[in-house]
Amino acid sequence: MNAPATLPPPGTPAKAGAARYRYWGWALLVAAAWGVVAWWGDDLGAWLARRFPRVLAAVGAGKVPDAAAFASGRLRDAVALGALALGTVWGALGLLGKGLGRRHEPFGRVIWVAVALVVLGNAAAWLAGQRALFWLALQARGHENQAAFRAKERLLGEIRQRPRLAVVGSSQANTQFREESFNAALGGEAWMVDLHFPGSTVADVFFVTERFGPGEVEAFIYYASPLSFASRELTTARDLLRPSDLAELHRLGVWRELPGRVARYTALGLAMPLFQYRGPWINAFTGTPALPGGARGGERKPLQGGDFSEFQQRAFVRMLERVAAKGQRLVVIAGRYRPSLEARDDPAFRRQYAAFLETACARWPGVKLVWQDELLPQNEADYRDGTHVTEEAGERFTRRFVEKWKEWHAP
Amino acid sequence: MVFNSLTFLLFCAVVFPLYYRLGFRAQNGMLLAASYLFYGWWDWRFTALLLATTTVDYVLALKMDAPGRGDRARRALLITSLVANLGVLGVFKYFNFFSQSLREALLQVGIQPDWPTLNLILPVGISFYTFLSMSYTIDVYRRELPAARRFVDFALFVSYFPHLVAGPIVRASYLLPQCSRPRRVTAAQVRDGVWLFLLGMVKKVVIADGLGGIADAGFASQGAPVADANSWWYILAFTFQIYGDFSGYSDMARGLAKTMGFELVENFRAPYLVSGPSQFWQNWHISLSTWLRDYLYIPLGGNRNGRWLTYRNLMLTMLLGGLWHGAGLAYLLWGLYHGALLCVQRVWRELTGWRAPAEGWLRWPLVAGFFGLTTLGWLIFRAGACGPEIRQGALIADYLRAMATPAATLAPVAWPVLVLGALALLMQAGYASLERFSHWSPRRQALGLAVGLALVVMLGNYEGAQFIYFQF
Repeated sequence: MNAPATLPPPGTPAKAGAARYRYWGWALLVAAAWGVVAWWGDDLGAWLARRFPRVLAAVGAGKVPDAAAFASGRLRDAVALGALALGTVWGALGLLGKGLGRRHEPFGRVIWVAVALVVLGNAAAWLAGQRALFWLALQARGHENQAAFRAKERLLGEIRQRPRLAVVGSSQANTQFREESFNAALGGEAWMVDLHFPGSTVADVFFVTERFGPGEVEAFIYYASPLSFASRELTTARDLLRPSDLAELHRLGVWRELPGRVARYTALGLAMPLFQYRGPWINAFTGTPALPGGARGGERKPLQGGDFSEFQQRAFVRMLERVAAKGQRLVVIAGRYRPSLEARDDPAFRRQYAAFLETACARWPGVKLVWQDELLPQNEADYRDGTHVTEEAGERFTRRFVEKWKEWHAP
Repeated sequence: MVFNSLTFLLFCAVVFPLYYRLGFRAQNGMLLAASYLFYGWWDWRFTALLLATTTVDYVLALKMDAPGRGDRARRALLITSLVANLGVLGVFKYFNFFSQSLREALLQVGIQPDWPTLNLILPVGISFYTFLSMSYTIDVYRRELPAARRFVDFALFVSYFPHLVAGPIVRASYLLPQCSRPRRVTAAQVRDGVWLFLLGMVKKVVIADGLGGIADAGFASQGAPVADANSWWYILAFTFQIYGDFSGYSDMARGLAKTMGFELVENFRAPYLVSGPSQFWQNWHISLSTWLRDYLYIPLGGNRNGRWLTYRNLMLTMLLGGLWHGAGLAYLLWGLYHGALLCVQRVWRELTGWRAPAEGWLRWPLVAGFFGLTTLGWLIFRAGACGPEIRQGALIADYLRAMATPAATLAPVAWPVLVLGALALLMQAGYASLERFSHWSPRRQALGLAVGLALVVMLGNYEGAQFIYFQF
């Protein structure tokens, strides 16, 4: 291990020696922390869970069935992130010290070192992204969708209850299902994690389901909105894609059929985690303000028959195929939105939508299609805007769904 | 084609390798073709207008500079050039504004006018290249500059793509010699050029586009304007957005030019860290303010003909400066507002003999006070993009009312404005050091480039926002 010898910038020998010891000091501290967490991590977690239950519940935002396990997991995260930070600083100083030692370095070398520093930053960001604490910390200034999703994704592995359910969909899914109420109602027998992503299309939801195997999620509950079938886009998933998704992207015809920016964002995101995580960065560093209604664009146009996207239909069918192939179950709730807005849509769109869902869901044994009106019809007063229901309406819907879930799974 | 787009990246991937391989004459020809391609990317028809303006000024300047040409003939040629340039600008940019204003005035007195409205698309950057070209014929007329002999050199001076659509407005005496003589690209120019481009990118995609959403929310270009308890934050967002947007474009333009061995003039220094209006115009859009000074204010008499004529000249110059930005009442008012600020500063100096200190603690309250006045000016300016004149006036009044009763608590929109605004102010405070990148140590250079790249990647907004000044 000769890295520290390259670290200190050139200076007097005494200063260089002092700097070297300082780095070794930090390294020893991190190593000691590793040791403490490895030996006493569970005990420390249990102590923290007893001492600070409310803080842990708030940090975990409803995803903490076992506070002690959550606390010890975050302690391990903290040590890993500390080691990573130290390694990154070492690496960066090493690049600057060794790469640019002379006063008149050629500019090509300066650029090479700058690019190497950015690559190092990307590698560090990717490694940090494997830890739930990193995503929870990025949410310290307020909720951010990608950070929330990734934190939940990491925490899912720590939940020991089975079966584990995941609600997927757009922001509509988030307002219809009250995650904490759901978990309180099912607590002992199941644990639900809300993995919704605002603005998601069907293809986005498909790539979300692709991230979880049967060992992580036993059943998905997909609150499908007609709106998510009306867009020829891949919006939220492009910030979540992994290299293993490239084959599916190709199969769906993403490169061929979707706007060029999807490919650009996807490629940049896959190459650079720093770019893929820009939503959480922006939220953490500059904040993402809630803008007044006018900034969110004009009112939605009524849906026409021709708006029913073939691309989204393909993505939906592929999602059913893959979920069935992985041995997972899927409950598709054919959702609705504000009745007065629905009334403006072309009836042809709704007919196509209904016929397609009936046909597609009937082909796969593990898939259950439920019409929202069969579960709980909602009226104009239940909506706080065009698509999102009020908190009370969400509570009613969640209770009704839990009842149904229990009926379906009654012995 | 905008600088912060993939298309432009591909454009550079072709243009730069070619440029470095070609000889001087071929470089000029290739750059001219590339510049027309760059401009035609918006609408190929615009290139015809650009070519026509260029040809007219080239021919007129040659005739003006012909041996034995008398003063009267030279003046006639200059007037022809001015009429041609201002005529194009007038038709494309101002005709509808003035005809509609006149129509409304006539309707007020009971006359029903019957003349057509022209449905013309405003060519991108028309005000920039018209002023650039006009300065050339004026300089030739004044015998400060010989007429360009080679059309390609002159056409390149007018259409050189880094400055074509949003400046800086480079004088012919400064840029034309660079187009006419072989250029040597130095290592320092490449270093500074790459850095300036990256710096401009940070200003554009991080600061300007990061705050654009907040400013648009407040001024709701498409919906009803929102004047509420957050009004101060919307205006501050626009204040920093327009700095990041325009100064970022200027930096990118200068950076691109440097990497080809050209030098464009500095356009921005630290405009929000000044203590008065005259200092503001020495730091903000310097190429326009010096153009207006040299080709309008001084020919009008400047400050040579007594106090009242000086005030008149200041007001006229700033009024036309405002109108240069756009055909609308709000731009006119913005120009008048700055003219009035300049006059007040002048009156104050004449009455008291007191000048704001350039150093020391007393400077900072003045800087803060003048920043407030600048921000109010941007309210008037931003209202110019908010629909018909009557609505603009109402919007300004609504904002002034809302700003008088700001929210007691810090709104969610405040944080991005504070963070990105602080970044913009830091860049202004350190602009002298940022301009001397090639003098930095290699380690500092690498770290600077890495931080700039990381900022662009991590905090950049890539939703294709255009540069604000393209519309001018």
